[in-house]
Amino acid sequence: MSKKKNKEHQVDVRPNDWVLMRGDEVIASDPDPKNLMRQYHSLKDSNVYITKNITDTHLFF
Amino acid sequence: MQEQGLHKHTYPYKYPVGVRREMKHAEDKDSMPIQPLMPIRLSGIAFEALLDSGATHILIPRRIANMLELKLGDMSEGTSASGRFPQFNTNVNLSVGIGPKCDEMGTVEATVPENENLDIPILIGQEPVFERYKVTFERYKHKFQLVPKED
Repeated sequence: MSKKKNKEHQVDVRPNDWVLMRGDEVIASDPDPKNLMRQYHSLKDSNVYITKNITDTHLFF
Repeated sequence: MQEQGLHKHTYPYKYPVGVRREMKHAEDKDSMPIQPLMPIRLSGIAFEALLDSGATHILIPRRIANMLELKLGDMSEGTSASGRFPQFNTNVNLSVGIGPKCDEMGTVEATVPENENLDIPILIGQEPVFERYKVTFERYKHKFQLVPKED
């Protein structure tokens, strides 16, 4: 299950999670991006997108 | 003459999302790595992807490919800095940028690593983006730019 906002409006974003964002605001975070899609579609906001919390600075390819 | 129908895009390098907000107010801006992340759409879904001049094609992590229900085709062997890996060939509809400056690339070739546990972002490699834009990385200015190629 994706982790949603708590009272402090903080979302636990773990390394390598897929993250639902609105601008620079974290909406939800989950290892499986499928769990973010319901919220993605329900928000209907052009500023919403999905990214990955990349913390390893090594080059990938 | 620039390639018609494409826009100039300028984007800032970005911090990892987990620290992005707090780094806005951080005194030591160099304490975290920054990355050339850019807005794209795959099959109409908005993503932030890493622009990677070292990648040949677009590389889509397996979990994202599953989420988009991409049809996975023949397998091939990919090569990375850490060795060879099996991957599927696929096709996906790509748009570069968002909003009024969005450039439709149409259906493009992409690869999907077989291993769904690889911790990689979506990578935007040389084809087709570096074929259609002049790409300039200015890390020291914390920005990068895509300018439609000139004939």
